Amino acid sequence: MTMTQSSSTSSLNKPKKIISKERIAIYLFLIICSLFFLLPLYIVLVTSLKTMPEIRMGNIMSWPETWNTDAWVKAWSTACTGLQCEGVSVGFWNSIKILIPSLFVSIMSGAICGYVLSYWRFKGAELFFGIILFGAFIPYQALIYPMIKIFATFGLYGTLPGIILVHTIFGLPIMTLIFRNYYSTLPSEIFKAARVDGAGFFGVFFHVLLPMSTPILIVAVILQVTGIWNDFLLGLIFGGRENMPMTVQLNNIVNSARGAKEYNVNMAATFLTALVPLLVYFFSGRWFVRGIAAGAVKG
Amino acid sequence: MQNNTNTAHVSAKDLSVSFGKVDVLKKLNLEINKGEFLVLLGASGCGKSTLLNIFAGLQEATDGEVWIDDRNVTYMEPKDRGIAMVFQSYALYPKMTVRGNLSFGLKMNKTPKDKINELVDYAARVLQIENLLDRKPGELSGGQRQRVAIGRALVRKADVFLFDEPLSNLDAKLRSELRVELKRLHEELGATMIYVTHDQVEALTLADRIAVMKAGVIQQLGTPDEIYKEPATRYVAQFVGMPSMNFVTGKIINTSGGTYFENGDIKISIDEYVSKQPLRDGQTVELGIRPEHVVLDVEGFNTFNVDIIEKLGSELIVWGKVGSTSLTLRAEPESSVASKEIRKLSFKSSGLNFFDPETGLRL
Repeated sequence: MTMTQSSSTSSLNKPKKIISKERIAIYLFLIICSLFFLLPLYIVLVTSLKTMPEIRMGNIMSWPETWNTDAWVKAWSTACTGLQCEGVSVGFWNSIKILIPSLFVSIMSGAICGYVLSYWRFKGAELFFGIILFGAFIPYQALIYPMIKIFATFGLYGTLPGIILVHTIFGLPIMTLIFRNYYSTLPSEIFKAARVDGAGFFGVFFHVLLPMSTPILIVAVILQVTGIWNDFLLGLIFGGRENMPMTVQLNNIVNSARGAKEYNVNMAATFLTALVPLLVYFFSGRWFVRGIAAGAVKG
Repeated sequence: MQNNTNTAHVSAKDLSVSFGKVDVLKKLNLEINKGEFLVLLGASGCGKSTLLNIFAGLQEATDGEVWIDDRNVTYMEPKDRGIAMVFQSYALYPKMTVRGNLSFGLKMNKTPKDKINELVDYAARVLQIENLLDRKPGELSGGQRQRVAIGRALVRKADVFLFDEPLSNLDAKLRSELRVELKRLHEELGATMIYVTHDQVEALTLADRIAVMKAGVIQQLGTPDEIYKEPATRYVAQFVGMPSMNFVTGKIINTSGGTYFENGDIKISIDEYVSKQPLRDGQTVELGIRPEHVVLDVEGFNTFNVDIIEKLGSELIVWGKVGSTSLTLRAEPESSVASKEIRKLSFKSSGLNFFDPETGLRL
């Protein structure tokens, strides 16, 4: 009885859903698109779980006969990356070593730049901002050689602080941009109130603005984690032998010329390398959208 | 607790501010007395908020000095000036509780913890926000937020309180409530208060003195009474008062029988008007007269064609014309005037104001 009542009231409130032809077409299109984009991931996953004899049979799309995780273990701990045979695990920890400090330094410096550009407007601030933005459009290739020379002069080339500094420098334009834009949407009266309350340059930033920056901090973390983790070129050039990031080691595994190609190991190593950005997107997608929306509308 | 609040004299000396080629303030001088409630009144863009920001130290003057008592504070940080400020948008720190908001300034200047609690409790009691102390600003209504913002100024024990249109974001009822409360607060604290608004009702009700500003210049500085009764310029006359003053352009006629103002429709004897300078015969002037000084009068000389009547409950606002001259007048709510009626009216000589049509100055 109650059931029928509630259903009848809800049918009164909401118009009856009609699945139109347009809807069906849209859903069909979206399903095809997602299949298209998911297909490589599927192939990577199933191949990594197959044995080499099974792979040689050539049925690339087929489901694995037995689930075999040997390739994953090998990829992680014993696959050869050049002369060493310790798998991508070394690269993983190298990437973490590079990621954590780069993340912190680049986001903090970007946030402070954005803060200065929106609240402590000095003479020529606009020009300064223009120059920083311009930096974002200069191709890496044009900068790499001069940077190597400069870094070598200061003894930073091929060191961990060196690669952290490189990531900070290349991250600065976009970080400054998003933080400046975010801070200029916040009411300037809050800044004024904090100044009257006696907060200084860093007082305002750390006590008042940073706590209000959660949405944009999340956006910045996502951009930087994926950007730094996926970086290949800068890590290869500036990281030095000791600090080869995971992407470089993955490349070494896949391209090592010796012996037969172990596709299952390559696939497993690929998946392991992609796992970090994949997880970041997975768990923060909602925040990512919210952060962008928050930055666009208001704080 | 109430008696140990300080108060200070504030003065602006030859203050000028320009943004590029735009002069926002022009050689402005202003003396604000100890314990005075001074209102800066003007339309938006007149420079009143800029002036307040300069007092606060949030903006730099291009030229000139600001003094608080015997200290030249022109180049001092806001926190060192002994000021507190309340903003239009409340400007509360959204991630802190009300208690956090109130105590932030005290924490910044390293006040001992028990002293902070004492001051916060005092401010919360005065503003009746004790039950809100653990909430975040987002959970408060507009009126409550502005109370917290006032409380944040209160705990600073400042010599000078600066208000930047603090009531403009509130609805009419709350606005009048908080207006009364601010007035009481000023009487209790005795601190100097400088208050920026574009609302003439706030200005007239709160101020000890009002400075009416236009285009970076103070047009008139005086008590609300002086501003209302003897506006120094035509701008002040039309800006203050609701409904606005009536303005009629006409000529002065000097005869042996007395001095008159005449414009073809209206002829008024102005012998009782005390002018700053003698009015010449034939001089073109602008007459300003407030709606309450235009009265329906069966013995009046002027025939008044009533057009529209606005009933405000406590009074009637009557719009109409004498000949081709439009006039507004205020009438008692029980008066029997009806629209499209023809009535007689007269002018109270005490309410006459004359302005130079070219300079806008009072004659």
